[in-house]
Amino acid sequence: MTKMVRFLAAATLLTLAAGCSSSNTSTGTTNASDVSTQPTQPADSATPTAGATINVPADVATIQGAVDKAKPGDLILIQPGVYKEAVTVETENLTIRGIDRNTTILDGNFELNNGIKVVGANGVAIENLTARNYTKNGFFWTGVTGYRGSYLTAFRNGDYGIYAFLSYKGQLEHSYGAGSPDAGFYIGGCYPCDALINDVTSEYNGLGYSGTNAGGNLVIANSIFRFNRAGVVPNSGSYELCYPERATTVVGNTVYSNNQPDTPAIDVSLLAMGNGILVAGGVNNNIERNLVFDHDKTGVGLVPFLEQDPNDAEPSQDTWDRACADTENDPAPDPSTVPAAVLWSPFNNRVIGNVLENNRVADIAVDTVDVDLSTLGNCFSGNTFKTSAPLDLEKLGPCDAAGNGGDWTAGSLNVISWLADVHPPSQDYKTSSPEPPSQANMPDAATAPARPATDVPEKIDVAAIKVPAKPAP
Amino acid sequence: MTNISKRICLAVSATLVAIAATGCAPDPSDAPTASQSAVAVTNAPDVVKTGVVVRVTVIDNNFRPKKSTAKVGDTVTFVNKGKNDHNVLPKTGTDWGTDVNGLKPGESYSYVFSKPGVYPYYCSIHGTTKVGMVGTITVAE
Repeated sequence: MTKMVRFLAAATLLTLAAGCSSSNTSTGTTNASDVSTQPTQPADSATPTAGATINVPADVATIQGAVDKAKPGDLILIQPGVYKEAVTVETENLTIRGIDRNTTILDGNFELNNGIKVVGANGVAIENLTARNYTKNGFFWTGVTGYRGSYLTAFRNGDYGIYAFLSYKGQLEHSYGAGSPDAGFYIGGCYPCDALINDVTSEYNGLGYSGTNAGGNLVIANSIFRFNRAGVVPNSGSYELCYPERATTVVGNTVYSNNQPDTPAIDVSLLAMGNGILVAGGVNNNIERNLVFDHDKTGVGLVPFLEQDPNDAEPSQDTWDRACADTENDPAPDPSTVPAAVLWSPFNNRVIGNVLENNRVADIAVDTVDVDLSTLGNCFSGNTFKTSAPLDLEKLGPCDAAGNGGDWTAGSLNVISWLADVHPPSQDYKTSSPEPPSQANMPDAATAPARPATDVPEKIDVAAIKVPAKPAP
Repeated sequence: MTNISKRICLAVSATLVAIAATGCAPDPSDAPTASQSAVAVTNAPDVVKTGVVVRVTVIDNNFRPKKSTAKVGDTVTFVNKGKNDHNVLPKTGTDWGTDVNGLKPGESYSYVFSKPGVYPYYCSIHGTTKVGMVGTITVAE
């Protein structure tokens, strides 16, 4: 059987898998102006100046109204209440903050698409709020330079919880994402991203983190990814621009029990199920000093991603370092040059110093299809582990040293067999995730001054981050 | 049959059997339909169609190409080849475009423009009329 025929056979399986993940049903969109907020009378008397504070609902009844009135540098301060709005932000350098994270709630009522959508407005910070029950995303930045999400809770949203796309210089921190069929946290379509995810918890999603075609000074650190179908999944694909995924650092995270059978899940979440950190066709990533345990498949797996009916051919390696900004105006590919399927293989990833246990297929693993694994440039050193696929992986492909020349086919992961796996089907995102526990509030939310996202990401000492301690049962 | 062929065939068979056994077959309401794949054209019947199809690929979160050209009577087809839902809404008016729920992955929408002009459009999920996921079709005589 030729490689292409094998691809197509696998593509058929992917299609079947996709047909099982139909939880993401839209229910319509209502303009923010069409809905009312629970808090009471608008004053609408504030005429803010730069650096002013606009109180919702005391000054303006709705969050959207406050955003529309605000000028760059302003602080929008929102009292507790349930705000049934879909807010669009097009003004730069705003700070949008709730007084109480757990009781200042944007609610889409399964009708509105995005809780807060920041489009082309640089430097917008969103703080201390909850977004729930949106058909698409809780908090969403797109096409911006400078963004920050701090002390946010996003749950029961139909695509992503907290989402940054085609955006640069960002930070997501002290936040919580749950109950999304795609990912609780997502950064995609940026290179170099210059972004940091720090101290977040992501659970009961299809994927804890997904990052398609993202990377370049992108650090995911000090966070918890648990009880998802799969934990942390950097991935490549031509269904977004700026491929492949590359140069993400995943460090100091606690990643465990990502075998959750009753979450909402898109097709790739089902395929990735049972893995802790799964690099799916990504390149040049650093996976370091994470604690990864209790997975049905791999703790850290470097695997191919098969994309059926792609939009482009796989880019040549000499283009991997092209900035996304340079590729945005590339002409659409000639359809005659696009193959029936693309297999994105993992290249040049470094897996170092992780502590892994009870990952039942293999603690560390690498595989692809029809390519000699020894030629991919992936390496493994200093990990604490019991099992690997292939066998003796740290001796076959150590980092910064020559391998032992052993057999890369012995004890193969056999990733093709995953396509035959049967997973519990996607559950309805509207009903499947538990209510989140109360989350920590931003300190001094009522009095802290505005802080637009003009100073992110903060620099963190990645080298100083240690393997986390195991959480209490 | 090679060993790898046998493995693939076994994998396919196992998956099909398992899907049947678990009731995980796609819901008929969610499965791509003949009309979706055949592309229903929604505009008025008095347009003389040229038979030419101008394709706009919808990915996450861009229209590709962003700027397209067509002639009166050409069929402009938007195909969602992303992983997320997208809609196609005219910047002004409601004469054409999808509804706000838009296209699920794999679905498509077509329209035949009957008048020349510049037709800007956008996805309201991932953009606004001005920025984000936007595009333009220029229709000539």
